[in-house]
Amino acid sequence: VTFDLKAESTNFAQEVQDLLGNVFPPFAGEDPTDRQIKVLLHHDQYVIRTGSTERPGGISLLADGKKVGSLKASFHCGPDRSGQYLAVRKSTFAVSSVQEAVPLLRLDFHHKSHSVPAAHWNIHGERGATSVMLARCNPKHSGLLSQVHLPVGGTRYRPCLEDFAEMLVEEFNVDRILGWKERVHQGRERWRVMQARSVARDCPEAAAAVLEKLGYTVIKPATGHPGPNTDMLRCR
Amino acid sequence: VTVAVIELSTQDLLDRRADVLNDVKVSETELQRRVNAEAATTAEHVALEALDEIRFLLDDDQQ
Repeated sequence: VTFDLKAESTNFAQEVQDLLGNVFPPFAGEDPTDRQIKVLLHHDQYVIRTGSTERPGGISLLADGKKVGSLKASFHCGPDRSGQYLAVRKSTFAVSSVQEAVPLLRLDFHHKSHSVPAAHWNIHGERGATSVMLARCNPKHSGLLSQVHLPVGGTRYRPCLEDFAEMLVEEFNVDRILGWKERVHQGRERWRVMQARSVARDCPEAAAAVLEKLGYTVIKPATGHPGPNTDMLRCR
Repeated sequence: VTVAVIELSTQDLLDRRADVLNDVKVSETELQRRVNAEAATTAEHVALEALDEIRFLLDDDQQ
């Protein structure tokens, strides 16, 4: 089977489209293309995101039908090292209020991150005590809480877009479409199964031991268990 | 709703980058500084995101 990166990317983008379209209702009179997910491609690089064709943007978040904010989602994707799977290199989910440009919350992932956790929350909620402590302990820091990277489990255990969407519905109580929860649950299950496969590849010996305990017969390769992917297991 | 797929050439991306920088009239470094300091306007936030995606699509993301 030949790996079709364009088809994989488009299918993934459609999953994002279906998720957002089945959770958040449209603003009355809104141009439907404003809610359309865009897939920008150049050679083997893909950007899948909300916004217009020209610029990144968000989809409207409503309260009682009135626009109160927006949700931005973007994924930078390409082939993985094996060339057999679509890999997300970077993703950002952000919620902004209609009141100001600075996001309220952001969940970022960058697979190449070393100086900060690969997956992290940025909270744009400044507080004097935080700034004072940061300035006292780390003079190189800007002192802004939004520049603190709160780790969320690294590449494998990071939250998915479904988690972010559910947080907006449950915590912010934004308008939602009937049946939204089932769509979120289905998407989250799909995400976690996909991540479980990746984790099994990261530590095959541990995965084999678990399967044996469950009653499976596992035959290790003649060359022995492949070594664990310690970079992935240890990365923050 | 079906997603929109937009194929971009290298020249398209270079043109986009020039348009973005022309619209905000500051350098990318200055944009980054303003965003980090939470001093950026909405247009500057969007411009920085647009430049980031152009860099990625051109495959010269060295971050």
